[in-house]
Parts: sequence; C-alpha cells; structure tokens
Amino acid sequence: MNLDSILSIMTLTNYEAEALWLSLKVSSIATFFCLPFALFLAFVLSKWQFKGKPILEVIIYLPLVLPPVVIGYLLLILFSNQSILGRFLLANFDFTFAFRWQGAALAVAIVALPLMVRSIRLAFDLIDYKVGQAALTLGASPIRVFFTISLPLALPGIISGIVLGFARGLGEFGATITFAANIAGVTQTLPLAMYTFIQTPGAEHSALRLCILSILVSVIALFASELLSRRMKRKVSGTSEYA
Amino acid sequence: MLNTSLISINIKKKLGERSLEYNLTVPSTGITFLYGPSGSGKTSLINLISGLLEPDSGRITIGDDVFFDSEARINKKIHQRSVGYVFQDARLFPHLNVKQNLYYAKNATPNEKALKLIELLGISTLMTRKIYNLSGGEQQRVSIARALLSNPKVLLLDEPFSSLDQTIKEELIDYFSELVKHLNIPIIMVSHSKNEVFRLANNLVLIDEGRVIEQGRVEQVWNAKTWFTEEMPQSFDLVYSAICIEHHEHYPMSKIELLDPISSKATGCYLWVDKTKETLSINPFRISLYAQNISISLDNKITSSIRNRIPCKIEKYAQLKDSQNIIVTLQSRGNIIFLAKISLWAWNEMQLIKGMDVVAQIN
Repeated sequence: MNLDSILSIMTLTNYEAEALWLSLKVSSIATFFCLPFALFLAFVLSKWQFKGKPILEVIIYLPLVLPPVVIGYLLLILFSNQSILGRFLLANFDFTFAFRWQGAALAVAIVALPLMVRSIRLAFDLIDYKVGQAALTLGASPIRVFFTISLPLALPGIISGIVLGFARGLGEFGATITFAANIAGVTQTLPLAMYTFIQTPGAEHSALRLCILSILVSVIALFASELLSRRMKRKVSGTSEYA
Repeated sequence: MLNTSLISINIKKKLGERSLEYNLTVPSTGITFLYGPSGSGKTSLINLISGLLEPDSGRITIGDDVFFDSEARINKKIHQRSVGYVFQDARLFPHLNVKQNLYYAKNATPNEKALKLIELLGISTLMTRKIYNLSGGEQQRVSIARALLSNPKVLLLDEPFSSLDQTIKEELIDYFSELVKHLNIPIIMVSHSKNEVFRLANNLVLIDEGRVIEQGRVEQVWNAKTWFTEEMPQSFDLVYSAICIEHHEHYPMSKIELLDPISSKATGCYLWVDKTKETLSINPFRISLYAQNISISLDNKITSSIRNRIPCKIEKYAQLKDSQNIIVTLQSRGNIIFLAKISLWAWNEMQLIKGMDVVAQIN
C-alpha cells in the first residue's frame, strides 16, 4: 500500500463530507436552541414545588422512552403542511419544517431535550441551597443569585448535558427519517446515509467507512466533554480528581 | 438615648411539631447572645429575623424599618432586609476567590472603611486565594468580612466559632472582639459556649424550647439562670464583671475588683486571682466563680491558705437533691452574690443560719 492509497482512504468523499457536515449542523443547532428551554425546565424541576410537577416531568422525559418513530410521526401530524400549525407557519412566516434540515433539527431537539434536562437538573440539585441563601442575605436578588451562583456552579453539569444532547443528536435516526425523510444533501445525516448504504446491495464498504466515521466523531465529542467538564469542576469546586 | 436600630421582635411560628414564640428587644449596639441548649430554637430565631424563615404571625422591626408585620401584611424579602448573616459553615462561594467573595454584595465597595475591616480581620494577604485553599478559621474571617462589607443594619452570627478547633477559635474570638469595637450596629450571635458569652457578650438572651426565658445584661441573666429562676440551681457558677487593679510584685497574681452587676459601679470587693492577661485599666472583663471553690468561715483571722476573704451575710440556702451538700447564697456589698457549696455536716456543726454574718473564702 502506498501513501496515495492511504490518503485516499483517509479522505472523505463529497457524499460523506456532506452527511458529516449536515449531522454536525443539525445536532449543534438543535442543541443550541434546546439549551435555554433545558436550563429553564431543569431549574423549575429542581427548585420549584408546585402541583402538576409529576405531569410536567412525564411530558419532558417521555421522548426518552417513546420509540423515536412515534415522535417523528407526532411531529409529522403537528407540523405537516396540512396541519393547523404547519399551515399557520407557512402562511405567516413562509416557513415549514417538513422535509428540510430544520425539521431534522426539530426532531433532534425533541429527543435531546430530556437528556439535557436530566443532566442539568442533577447539577442544580447538587448545588447547596445554603450558598444561595448566603447570597440572598448579601442583598442579591434571586435573579442575580441564579446568574452569579447557581449557573456557574452548575456549569459542569450543563456542559455534560450539552454534550449528551449533541451526541444523542448525532445518532438520531428514527424521528428524523419519519419527520424529515431521507433526502441526500438535505436531511440525510450520517446515520441516515449509512442506512441507505446498508439498503444498497454491494455498498458494504461505504457503510463501513461511515460506521468508522461515526465512531470517530462520537469519541472526539466524548473526550472533549470529559476534558471540558474536568476543567470546569476544578474551577468550580477547586478540587482536582488527582488531588 | 436615641435607639435608631433597636430591634423589636414579637412573633409566633409553628415549625413541624414545635411552636416557637419569641418576644424580645435587642439593643441597637453591642453583642447580644442567644444562648441555650442545642435544639432550643436559637438559629430559628435569627433565621426569622433574616427572612430565611417566615413567621406565622407577629412583628419584627429594626428601628423604624418593618421587616415583618402580619397585620399590615408586610414581609420584606431576604435580599431587601440588609442583614449580614455569618453562617456556622462559612458558605463562601466556591467558584470565586476571596476578593470576589468579599465584594459580592452590590453595595460593597473597597473604600477606607472596607480596607480597615479587611485589615482588622487579617485577610488582606488572602485576597487572591481560592476558597479551597483557606483554613477553617480563614474562611470564617472572610465570611464575617463579607457580611459586614454589605453594610448591614444588623449582623447575625450562627455559632461562627463552633466548627473550629480550640486554638483557631481563640484566635478568631480575639479578632472578633477587636472588630466589634469598630462596629455600631446591633450584633446577634447564637452560641452555646459559656466561654464565648463571657468574653464577648454585652447582653444575654436565654432561649429554651422556642421561648425567651430571660433577657438582659450578662451578669444578671446568667446569675438568674443559676439561682434565682429555679429553687434548685442548675449550674453552680456565677459570673462577674471585674476590673484589674494591680499585679503582685513577686507572685503571678492580680488584684481585681468586682463590679456591681446592676450598676457596673465599683463595689470595694477585691479578689486576688491568677495573673490575668488583662492590663490594668478601666475596661471590665468577666470572671466566673464556681461554688465548689468557695467555702465559709466564721471569723476573719488569717488561719487558712485562702487569700480571698470577703465578709458576707447568708441570704438563703438549699440542700442539693440526692446529695449531702448545701448551696449557700452569700450577699456581699454592692449587690455581689456568691454561691458556696458546703457539706451538710459543716452546715450543722457551724450552726449556720439565714441572715448570719460570715466570711466567704474564695479559692
């Protein structure tokens, strides 16, 4: 094997690059828009006591256990151009989710939300409420306490929530293919492209390449999150894991 | 005298099974100790003042500022009350350094007063340190400074020294007693340490089972607790304010004069005690005398090794339950009271009776 052939193996084809790029775009944009909701819901679930809290919890965590194809189907019913909501968006904003990458991002966001909420909620739960009390007695309003105390202290949990959501987004298949369909270059993310290759006779080689690519992307994401969250933990609590 | 920040508390609160009912006033200056056994509701009381707990009914005012009034439906938010609160566990913000902790409060500015305070608490060299690099004593000093830098109307402290080991505790109490000379806000401290009460308190509030048992000047309240509220004393030590008159030329002894517990005036009651670290001055300090170190003699001839011999009158006496000992209350001049613990045998043999003139020998 010479250098050229090694390089040609290492180089992504246009098709692969497109799928990778689309996967990263869909997942990161979904995570980005999901984050404020996740932060808010996590905070509400962690700190507030109110009637109907168990119902809210069930609704938020439902996508975690529901088959993704069901989520995709529900999204289809809700947002298709025939539905009330879909027609409203089309008429007023000239916008549609169906069969576009925005649709894939919406599907990813719905699936990633419970994972992010769980992780961030745990971080809020672990913050000693007493530190917040101290801040209140120093004259800080509850909003200031949230932004200067709760949020920074929960940062490691928030970061791992983001990474979890992002990683889940990269792997999202069922809801995406149901809601946004499998259109090459438009909604065809890595898992969808791989599915296409598996369905195509004689494309086992291409499927394997995408398989390795997926593993690589996931490993890099996990490593990055681990590093980041360690640094954050050190910054927040001051203790290093090696201390 | 104008008491601009006199604190007046009159509240009820049901907390689980327990019902708390507090009725007290706290002077606008000096340190007021809330003293009582653990679980007696001392911390609940300062939590009610700070707003961390909400009373069921009643009124809390500081000067003309109303913190809580159930009738007028006033309940000021915690962050609008300007209370400085020093918690038992310092509760510093772990993600901020010392300086950021100190100036966390919005109205904390590094002005001359603030720098002086930081200097007094000995934390000026710690400013860039991370919280996890501080010792327990340092953390608590930062916590005290942080609370004071927010310019509070009242400083609340919840057993701030209790989690520290002995030497650090002593050091911090020294820092604190120096600091309070520079403060002119009311200070309320929760404690169950007699040592802290004697060294720091100006006023004492006894709390038990969610009620105020007694409040007033330390000597009065403490001594009332020991003897006068109950027929049977609970502890046999009385506390006295005293000033140091002179140190002995040859021996490590100091002569002190006890002060009248009500008027704080000199009484002419002198005692020789182990040399104190107090300097000769008019600043009073506190000593406590245990009943087992006081005995009774019928004449004033120097026939014993005990140096301190003070003429007294037997005021009353009581036999201790399940014991052959008698606790005798001795009245000396200037409202000074001593408790002596003697055996029933001695009591009978000496034919002591109420109203008799005797000499208290104090070891």
